[in-house]
This record gives sequence, structure tokens and C-alpha cells, in this order.
Amino acid sequence: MDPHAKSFQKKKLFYVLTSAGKPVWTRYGECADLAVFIGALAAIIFKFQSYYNGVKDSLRYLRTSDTYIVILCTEALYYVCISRGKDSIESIYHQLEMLHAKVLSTLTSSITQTLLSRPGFDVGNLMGGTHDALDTLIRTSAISPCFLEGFMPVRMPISQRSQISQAFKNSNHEDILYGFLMTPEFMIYKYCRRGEQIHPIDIFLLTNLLTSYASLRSTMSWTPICLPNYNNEGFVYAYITFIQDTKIGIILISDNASAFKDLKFCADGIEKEIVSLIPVLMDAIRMMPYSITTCEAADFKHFLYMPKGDQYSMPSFYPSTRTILAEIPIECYKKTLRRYYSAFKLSKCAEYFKGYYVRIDIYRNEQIVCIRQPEYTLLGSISPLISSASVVQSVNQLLRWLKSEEQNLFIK
Amino acid sequence: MDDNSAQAKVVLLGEAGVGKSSIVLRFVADTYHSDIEPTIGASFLSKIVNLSEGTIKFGIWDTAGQERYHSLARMYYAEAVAAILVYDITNRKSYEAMKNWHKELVEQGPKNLIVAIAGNKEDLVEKEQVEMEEAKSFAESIGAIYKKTSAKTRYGIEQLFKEIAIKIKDNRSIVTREKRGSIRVTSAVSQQPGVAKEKKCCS
Repeated sequence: MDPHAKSFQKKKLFYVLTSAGKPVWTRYGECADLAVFIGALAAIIFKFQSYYNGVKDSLRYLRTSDTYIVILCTEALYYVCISRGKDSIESIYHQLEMLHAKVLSTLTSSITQTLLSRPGFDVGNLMGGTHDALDTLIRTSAISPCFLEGFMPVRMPISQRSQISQAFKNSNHEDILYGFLMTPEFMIYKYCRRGEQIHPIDIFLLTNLLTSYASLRSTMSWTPICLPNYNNEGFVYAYITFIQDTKIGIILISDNASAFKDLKFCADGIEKEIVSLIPVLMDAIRMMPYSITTCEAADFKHFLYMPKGDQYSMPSFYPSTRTILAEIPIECYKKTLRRYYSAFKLSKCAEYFKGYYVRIDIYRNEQIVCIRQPEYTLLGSISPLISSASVVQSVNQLLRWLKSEEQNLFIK
Repeated sequence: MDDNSAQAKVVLLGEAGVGKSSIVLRFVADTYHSDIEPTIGASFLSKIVNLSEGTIKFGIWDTAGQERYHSLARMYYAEAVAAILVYDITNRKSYEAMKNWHKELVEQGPKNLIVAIAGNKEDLVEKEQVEMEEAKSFAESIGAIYKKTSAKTRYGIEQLFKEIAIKIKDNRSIVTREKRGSIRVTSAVSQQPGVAKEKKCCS
């Protein structure tokens, strides 16, 4: 038997390769062992492209009865996922796009130019030390509602958040492009230089950095990172420091490579000013994700709310009526997430309806409600036994509550 | 900052996986983990060392060894007073990489930079690929401090930084004694050329 067969038994395999068929990264096993297999993948992709010469398109996926092979072709790098799971092609495609963003954030888009001029170039070597970060990216993107393209703030009183905002204002510096007070999972406060915006994918990449490298928490770092949606050609520099004995990080990002001292000074200033808030911040973080029992969401098992913009909010996955039970297994959560995704996708197609879009999907163990309006998107999971009239009532109640709670759930 | 102490920036350079972060963690926090993650970018740690004449506060830049970070290393060593070039005694390639680092420092590094060479992973001496004599004579030829170290067993770590501290103190061109027996690094001499250079390259 093939000695690498073991890695092929995994449910979801990921490969990154160059268009010349050189392995760059593999989730399981060693690149060197998989050279032949990866070479074959590249050949298949290349052949399809050459058969359909002239069509500006490339192979998207192949499928067997139980396996999807999903392919993302960029100019010089191919991303392939072989999945035996229940994930939809779109969501896998999304994960591959995130992988691509991560590769760009590590190497910048100059890697494309390099590969186009030197197809035999060894990218794997340049990606050294990022294996765990890519693996983490795959895991976290599978359990977060990436399709919404947003991030989730910590639920906390608006008065505290404005105090933090004031601290960032008091320690501002012209070299600060973006500033964040965040945990590896949740955003507490974000600052953007006037006229700048930060793309949710760039935030996701930053989150990935904080989640993947625990060593960042014990030191201060000054690290180059490429935020592809800000500028995919070059690096910006991130000053990263964590407040001692907490998960709270102060991250200041600059486009000036020699701003370390100034940014350190700002971060020290910010930390000094918010030090009195740390106990309450710790409490707020401990409550995250908040339980649905703290929301006025009768009948709801779970919901996902996104007002206009790039932030969403959702409670943890406790069944509302049975809080004594352990958290439901991750598989159920993923299932609901998948259903949210397909409902959301359909609502996108139906955008030409304009205005109020409502859809209710009924499954054996839940009803998925999807409401889209110009001002917000709401997805929710409700028991299947509840009549549509009461569903409407519950939804209205939840929306009223969300409106009143909005300033605490989101960053202004 | 009180009068009785001085500050000195030290940068660690070397190939990925030779143990730069382990050396720093051993020195700063006296801990060791066999499976720490690769450093990204560079991390900054500090530690105060007591000498008979006063104290030196080391600000240590622990840089990432991966090739993609190589071109960025200059922004970390441009302001340094001392550089520790680390190689893994069980890995010939890392020794050659260390020599290249030295070449780069001579060409582009700040003047009067104190260089120390650390042959790390002394605990694996039976797998040695680089003879101590060879490394030692190289160190002598470039006027560098040479120490065999092991972040795992503590071997040589403390001495390495002590010797650097002493050399910083002795190096009259960058350190001046003050009346109360304190040491102060006069940054004007060592740092300015480097900073100016760096701006040129990054613009």
C-alpha cells in the first residue's frame, strides 16, 4: 500500500502548489512525499485549461459520489481541497480564497511576479514556519460565518467602549494606520486613519496571526505583514503587545517601517489609560460569546445578526431552553452554519426583489429564518414545531431587542 | 530611566530553527520549551544585567530566521550596539548562513557593532557538524566573542550576555563613564548612520 495513503484518509485535504506543479504546502504529510501526486494535480488542471483554450476560465471542481475536489486557480498558484465532508463547494472555495489571502499576506503579490518569470521557483521554502498558521486558518474559517465578511465585537457597555476610543485618540500618532484592541477571537475597539478602511479579510488575517502564534502574547513584536486588501504589493508593520496576564492585545499598524519607537510609545500610553478598565474588560470577554439566554430571543436556538457594515454578532451555541446541557457538539453548529450559508446565498440571488426579503427553510430539527433588508441581515435557528405566525412574532421581538442593544453589541 | 543604568540594543540573527528565541527566553525568563513556534517578524524583550560598575538594560531583538524575513533584518540591526550570530552546531548549513550574516553586517551594519557568535545546541555535541576550533578561529579572525551555548541546559547563556555587557562597557567609542559610575550608551555615534541608511532602502 502507498505509504502516504494514511494522509489520504483524512476528511479534508488541502494543497497549495505552483502552476508548474511544485508543492508549496500540504495540510497533512510531507510535501516531498506528495510530489508525484501534486504534479499529477497540476497536470490535470493544466490539461483542462489547454483543452478549453481561449476560454478565460479554469477548472473549478471535480466530484465523485462522495468526494469533492475543489480548485482555485490564481495566476501562478493553485489551491486544491479534497473533501469528503458535507461542506458545500462554495464554502470550500471560500476557504481556498482565504488560504490565498494568507499566502499573499506572508509573501505579498510579488510572489506571483517571481513565479511568472521563474516557474521553477521554490515557494515552499519561503513559506517556512507558517504551517500551523495555515492549518489554524482552515479550522477557524470552517467554524466562523466567513460568508458574511465581517468580524465580531465584544458585547460591552457603550460607555466603556467610548473610554477606550478616547484612549486611542489621546495616544494617536500620524504613523498609525490601524489600531486595534482585541482578543484573538473578538474585537474590542478598532481605529482607522481618517479616510482609510480595513477589509474584514485583513482583520481575519490579523486574527489568524494572533491565534496561531501564542508566543506573541509574552513579548512585544514588530512584524511585517501584508494586508492584501490594503496593499497586496508590500508590507505594513504591526506592533503587537498583549496586556499582561490577559488575552487582550493592543495592535498598532503602520505603513512606516521605522515607527516602532513611536508606536510603542502610543501603545504604552493606551495601556496606561485603559488599565482601570481591564477588570471589566476581562469580565466582558469571559462572557463571550454571550449566551442566548441574555437576549430577548424567545424560541430562538441561535441567531446571527449583521447590521450594515462589517460587523456581526451572534450568541454562543447553547440551546436556549436547556442551558444545563453541555454545549451542542461542533458538528451541529457546523450544520446550522451550513444552512445559514445556503439561505444567505439564495437571498443574495434574490436581491433584485429589493426591500424586504424573508425566507424560512424547514429542516427536521430546526427552521432557518433568513431576513435581508437594506439596513441589516438576520439569520436564525428556531425549533421546527413553532408555527409561522409565532415565528414572525419572535423575529419582531428579537429585532426590537437587537435595535435597543445595538450600541453595546457593535463598535460605532 | 535612572542614572545608574544604561541601555543597549542587541539583535539576534541566524538561520531558522537554530534556537535564537530559545536563547533569549532562557536569558530573559529562564525557561525552555522544546517545541516553540517560529518567531514572526521580530519580538522585543528586555532584561537588566548587573555589573560591578552599574547595570545594563538589554533591549533584545529576537528576529525570525526564515528567508522571507531576511531583507527586513536591517531595520532591527541598524540601531543595535551588539549582534549575536547564532548557528546550530549540528547543522553545517546554519554555520555558513551565520558567516553570511557577518558579511552583511560588515557591509551594511552600524559601525562599532559588537559581534558575538553563539554555537547553540551544545547539549547535542555528539551530533556536532561544525568543529569548535573552526568556529573559534573564525570568531577570532573577525574579532568576535565566541561562546558555545545550550538554551536547553543553560550552558553558556549567562556568560554570553555577560561578556557582551563587559565589551559594551569597555568599548569607549560607544559607552562613556559618568561621574556616579554609571554607564550610558551614547546613541549618537552608533545609531545615526544606520537609521539614515535604512530610510534610503525602505523608501
